[in-house]
Amino acid sequence: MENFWSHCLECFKKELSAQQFNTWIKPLKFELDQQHIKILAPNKFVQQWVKDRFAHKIEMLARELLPDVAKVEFTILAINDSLLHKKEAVISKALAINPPNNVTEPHVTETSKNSVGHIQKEVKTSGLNSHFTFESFVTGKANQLACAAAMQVSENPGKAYNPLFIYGGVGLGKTHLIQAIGNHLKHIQPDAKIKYLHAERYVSDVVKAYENKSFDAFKKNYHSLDLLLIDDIQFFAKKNRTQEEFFYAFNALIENKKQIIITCDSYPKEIGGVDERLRTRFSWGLTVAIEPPELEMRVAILLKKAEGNKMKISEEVAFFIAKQIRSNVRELEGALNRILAMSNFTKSTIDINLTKEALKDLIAVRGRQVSVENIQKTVADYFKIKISDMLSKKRSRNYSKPRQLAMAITRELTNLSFPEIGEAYGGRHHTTVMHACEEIDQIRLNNPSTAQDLGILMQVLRG
Amino acid sequence: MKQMLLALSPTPKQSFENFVTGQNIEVVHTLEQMIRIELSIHFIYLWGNEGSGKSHLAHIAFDHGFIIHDDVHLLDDQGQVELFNTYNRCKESQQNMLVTGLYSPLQMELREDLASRLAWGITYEVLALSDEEKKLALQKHANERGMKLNIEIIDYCLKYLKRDMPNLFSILEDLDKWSLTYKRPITLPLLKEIIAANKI
Repeated sequence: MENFWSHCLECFKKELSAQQFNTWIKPLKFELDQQHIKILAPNKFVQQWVKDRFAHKIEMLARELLPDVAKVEFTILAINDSLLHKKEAVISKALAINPPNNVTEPHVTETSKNSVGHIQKEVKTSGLNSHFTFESFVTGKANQLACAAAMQVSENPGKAYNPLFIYGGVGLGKTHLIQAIGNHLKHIQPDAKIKYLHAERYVSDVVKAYENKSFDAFKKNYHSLDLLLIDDIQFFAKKNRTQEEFFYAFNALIENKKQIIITCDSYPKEIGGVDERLRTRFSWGLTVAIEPPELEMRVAILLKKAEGNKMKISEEVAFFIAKQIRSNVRELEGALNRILAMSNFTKSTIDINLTKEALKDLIAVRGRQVSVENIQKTVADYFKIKISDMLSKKRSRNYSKPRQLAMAITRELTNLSFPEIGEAYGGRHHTTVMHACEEIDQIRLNNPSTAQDLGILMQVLRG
Repeated sequence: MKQMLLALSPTPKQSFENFVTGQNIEVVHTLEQMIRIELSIHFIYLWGNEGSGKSHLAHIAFDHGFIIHDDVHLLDDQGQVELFNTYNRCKESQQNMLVTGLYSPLQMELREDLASRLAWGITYEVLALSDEEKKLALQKHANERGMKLNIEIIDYCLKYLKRDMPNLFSILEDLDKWSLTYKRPITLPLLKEIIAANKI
């Protein structure tokens, strides 16, 4: 019977991406009750998702391997609460901190409702940026799941999935998404006590509390929140005191059914330098991944962002940018900023040529200054001669022409002086170099084929 | 007789006025817009070869309240984390910030989270001046120091010396100091003496 489940796991592992497998299949538990197979999910969200997408496959495998089974059932594994309470009791007893009943409810005075200044201050201390909303978040295959979970949590904080753990690479919109949760909750529950912060800020708050001996105030502040949004939790690595404090905060909030949302660059189990008990807790709720956006989504992001800037870019241009910049959304936004600035500055419409020019600054592999060695090699290759011949005293036209071209290019593309260039080309006198530069200047005007050679070489070298 | 100079002769303050723009006209324009808070962008990353003018622009930005970090490519791990934190705080409070480096954001093998942030605002390669523009910059610089600089001296520098701006400016400063110290006019022979002395 166990064989059946391990066979299922093997099948899914082959078919799904590691992230999908970790999110959906790995947390499942399997039970066989007479002729019923029970698939236990850690929460409703996973249950529904698995049922919708994978039930067919599981049933098929069951028919194959366990012909006696009549039914496959998908239910929820209700261990989180009991586990939490058991551990919590131990912790509270040992440390006698903030027994749950005494946790101060977020109090909102009447002045804070009436006074605009106060509300603005609230927004500021909440760390929320009002630009990050669900409306401005572009969804696609890469993030639809994370986005759906985020929306659910923002409607039912503390009830749906707690904690919500969102992980993925840099610049994919994790911050945007969790800020959107905060902003949405702020909108529907203006009195809710919300705090967004980067993990590093939490670390420095712990340090401050330590220095000022103000841990009581620190705890009161964090343990009384309705929604804690904490970004880049991997920054807790090897910070033991921070992890300990966060452990208390985590337990206090979860026990009071207050929502915690965490982002990270990796799956909970894989965060280095973080205590096992924290990592385990991170996967108590729902863990969802954000993957890099596919081409169409990158195009959609660009179009939306341009629209937000009241600029129009064609789909052709959007596709061009999206093909050049593949890794993350921040770079897409940076590219667009640069393109818009160039179009504004030159008062020209955004076409492919302008886009190409603007993107150079962002994605150029190297500077436009090149080394003399590189120039020599490029020119020698171009004329199919050896570098040693180019640097020799040989006077044949086959060698002298490439040599003169290379010296002139070196003068133009490097900061070397005439004597230094002479030195680099087989110890020639600086007047020889000056003569070569003058000669090439003349040829440029009078000899189209050499001028063309020069143009091509310059282009290759400048990249 | 040699006259001792009181400390260093004052270096003119770096400003837009004494920046020779060359091909960097759009960078200057964008920086001016950021200073006047006409853009919604608060972060600018400048990269390019040494001596292309990044630090000059960084100085100007600093004088206008920007948070500055020069030479990001030299940062070690800890330094990168600190810059990452500074970036996040600036972003949160919409504080203007300028960072410079030798290469484009993704070509320095920095932490990915930092590199992608450097690319997030607006990025420019600062391009070195052409020889003609360098002559103009030297002339401007000399005028500000009250030096009388003959064009033949500038031509000589560009022919026989390394032509990156830090080197050219440092020659100019040496010329100024020597002529004040030894009470000699600025001439080609004096320049040649300095070059010879520098080589020793």
